Amino acid sequence: MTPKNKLVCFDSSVFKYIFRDKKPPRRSKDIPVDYIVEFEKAQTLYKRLTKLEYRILVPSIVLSESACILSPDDQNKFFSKLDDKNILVGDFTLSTSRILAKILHMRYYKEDRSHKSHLKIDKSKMKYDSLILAIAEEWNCDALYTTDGDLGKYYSKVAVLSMDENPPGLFYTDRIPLESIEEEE
Amino acid sequence: MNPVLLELRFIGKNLKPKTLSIKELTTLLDRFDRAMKAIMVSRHPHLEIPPNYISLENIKHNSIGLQCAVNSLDEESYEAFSEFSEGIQSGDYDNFPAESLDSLNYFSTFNKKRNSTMVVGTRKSGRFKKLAEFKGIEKSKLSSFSDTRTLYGELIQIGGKTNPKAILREYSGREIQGDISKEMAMKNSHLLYKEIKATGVVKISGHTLAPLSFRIDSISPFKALTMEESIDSIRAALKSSK
Repeated sequence: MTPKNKLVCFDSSVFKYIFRDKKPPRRSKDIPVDYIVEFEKAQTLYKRLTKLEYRILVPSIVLSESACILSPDDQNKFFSKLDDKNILVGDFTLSTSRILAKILHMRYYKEDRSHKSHLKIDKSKMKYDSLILAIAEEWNCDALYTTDGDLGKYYSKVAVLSMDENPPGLFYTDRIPLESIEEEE
Repeated sequence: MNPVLLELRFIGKNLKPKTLSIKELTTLLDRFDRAMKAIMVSRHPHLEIPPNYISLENIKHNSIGLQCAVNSLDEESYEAFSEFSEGIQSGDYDNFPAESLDSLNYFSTFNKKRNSTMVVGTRKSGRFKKLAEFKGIEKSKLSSFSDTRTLYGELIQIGGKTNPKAILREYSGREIQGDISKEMAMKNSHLLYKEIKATGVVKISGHTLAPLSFRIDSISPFKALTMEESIDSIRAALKSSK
């Protein structure tokens, strides 16, 4: 059974692996083994979700992050090229900012006592990916995939999953073992 | 097995059915019915609710106890009643659909006029279980806000005799009901069961941040890319922009 009307989101670290070439980078001194392992996990996840006909939500801030390697002129070209594509792009809106405020409040003022006083908050700990989590929640995504285990500490209605995990609500029999994907290819 | 009755009790000095006009009594019931239906439809937009899904079973005479039996749509009815009670108890009326909030306003006015309190609960085998108590609406608890938004998905219903609506099933599976003009309903009826994008003003609960209502200003066809197509497009755009 194929899930219909299902939506997932990737954080910038997972996107990074998927936006790259379809083939994994060649092993060399410059490329750590961990990178190749994560790359392969991301590609497998992508194939698994594609096969199950999941749709993907691309937060606009992920596009910004992806485009930061380009010059401002090239960034203009990049965004213009995406204009007429029907990609589901999730903007950071007024309501997203309210969702994010709730998420951050729960994390830094309710759960983590050391951040009780706003003066003690270490802003670097307010993860960039929490912005993506807020967009995913606004769009009612089934899951947000991340390589950052700490993101799961943020309180959200969206399931925060690692790349090895299946989306929530998927029956066991619907799960596609990794080897079956390899066989079909 | 004894059924579980849904009960609204209005408690106040000298408050009993014979001190009420027939109109007041029937309006209380009508408002309760509307509040329930609005919650059910907001949670299950495609739900067809038969007129007698709940009916008046009994009126208790110590105070006014309106006891209603659930005749059909048991699961949805109890779910709506539970949500209604929780909203009253917590003060999060903001999450209520407009019509439920109208009903609550009526109960609030009634309580003020009669110096009464509304107690909401269930009754099984004669035993009453109190779920919530309501005196009046605290205006400070109402804090919804509006945001212009474009929503994407499949148009699963459009039209309506008096108040035309469009129901959109988003790609996440969430269904959202929007108000549209009759002209827009006629113009876009051919998009039924097709993918669309709808732009309009969404009213959002300040407490739950969930959409409460959606006024649709425009509808147009939209064919979302698959996951593979989306990734390929972004990848290609990145490469060709360097």
